[in-house]
Amino acid sequence: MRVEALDTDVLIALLQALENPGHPEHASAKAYLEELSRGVRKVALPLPVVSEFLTGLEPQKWPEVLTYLEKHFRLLELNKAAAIEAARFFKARLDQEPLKGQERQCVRTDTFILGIAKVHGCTKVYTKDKRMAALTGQGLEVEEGLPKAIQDPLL
Amino acid sequence: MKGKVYRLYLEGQDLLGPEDLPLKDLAVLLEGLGGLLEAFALEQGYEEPLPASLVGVREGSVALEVSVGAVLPLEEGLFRPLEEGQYHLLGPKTREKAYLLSKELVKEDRTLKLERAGKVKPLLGAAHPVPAPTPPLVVEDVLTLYGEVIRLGGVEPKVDLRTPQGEYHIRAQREDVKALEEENALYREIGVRVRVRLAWEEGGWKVLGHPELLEVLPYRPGDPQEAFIGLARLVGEALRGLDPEEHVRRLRG
Repeated sequence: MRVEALDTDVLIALLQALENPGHPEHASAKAYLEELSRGVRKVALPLPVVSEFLTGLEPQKWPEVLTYLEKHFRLLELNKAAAIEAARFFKARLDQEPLKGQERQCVRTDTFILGIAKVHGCTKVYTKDKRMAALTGQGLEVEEGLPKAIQDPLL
Repeated sequence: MKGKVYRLYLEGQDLLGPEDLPLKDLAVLLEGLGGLLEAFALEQGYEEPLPASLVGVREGSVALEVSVGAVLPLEEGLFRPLEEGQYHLLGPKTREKAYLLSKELVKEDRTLKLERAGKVKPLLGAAHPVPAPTPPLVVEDVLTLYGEVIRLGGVEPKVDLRTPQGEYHIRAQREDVKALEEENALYREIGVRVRVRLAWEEGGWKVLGHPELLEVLPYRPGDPQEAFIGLARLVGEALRGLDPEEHVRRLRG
C-alpha cells in the first residue's frame, strides 16, 4: 500500500479542480480520488502543508477546517526523526551547490515537508514546485504536478 | 556434528599454500570467522552454541573447509550481502564482526573468498573491504501512526495496528482500549500518537520494541473522495481565484 503526501500547492489545485467541472484537471482529479476510495493508495498531509493551507483562509475559518482535516485526513507531524531526515535532504542539496538568498528559506520548508513524509512511510510527494521536485532522493520520490490515476478505472 | 560444508579461500600475494600461513594469522582468521558466524546465528534467533568447525585445510591458496551444523540462511542472509556489498541487510552485530575481520585481513593484504554455486567471489578483506559501520542513531520520539485495528485488548492491554509500513503491537492503557472497544474500532482505521524508540538504518527508520500509546487521534475516516469533496465545499469559496503556486511562493520565498 502506497502512502503519498501532497504539497500545499497541489492540495489547493486539487480542491480547485474538484470544485470546477470546467477545470482542465477536473476529470483526472476525480479519477485520483476514486483510487483513494478503492484503497489503491492513501493520501497524507504533512503539518507544514496544513499551516500554509490555513494561511490562505480567514483565521475565523481555521478551527472548523482544522477539526475537519483532523477527522478526515492523515496529518503527519514533525518529530525528531523527521528533523534528521530534513537535515539529510538539506545537506544533500547543499552538497550540490550553495543556496542563494531566499532560495534557502524555500528549500528549508521543502526539506521539512520531505523529512516528515519520509519518516511516516510516504513513498512519494506531489508538488507543483520545481525546486522541491529537484530534491527527490533518499528513498522518496518527488513528482511535479497533480497526482494522476495509476490504474485504469474499474468498469 | 558435521553440517553443511562451505569452502572458503584466503588469498594474498604471500600465500601460495597452507604452509605460508602463520598459525597466529590462522587463529586470527578463525576467531574472526567464528565470531561473524556466531553473531549472524544470534541475530537469526539461534541462541545455542553454534556448531561450526574447521574440517579441512587444503591448497589453493589456503582453502578452508568450514562446517556449520545449524540450519541458518547463511547463503542468502550473510554471504550474498557480503559479496554484493549490501551491508545494510546485515544485523548490527554481524556487520560489526564483518568489518573487524575485514580490517584484520586488509592489514595483511589478504582477501577471504567463498565458493558458491561453482563460483569463487570475494566476501571481505583487501579486494572487497567492508566499510566501517556508521554509529547507531537511535532516538526516543513521538510518532503518528494511521492504520487498521487488527487486535484489541488482551491480558496486557494492547492495540495492534496494521499500517502501510507494517504491523505495530502498541502497549496501551486499559481505559484507552476500552474506549476503542466501545466505539467498535476493531477492523476500522484509526490514528494514534505513540512514544517510540526509532533506530536509523540504511534505507529508513526501524521501530525498536513496542510503541506506547499516548493518544488516540480524532481521525475517523470515511470515504476519501467524500473527504476531499467536503473540504472543497468548506474552503472552496476562499480558494477561488487563489493561484496555488503564487500562494506557496509568497510564503516560502
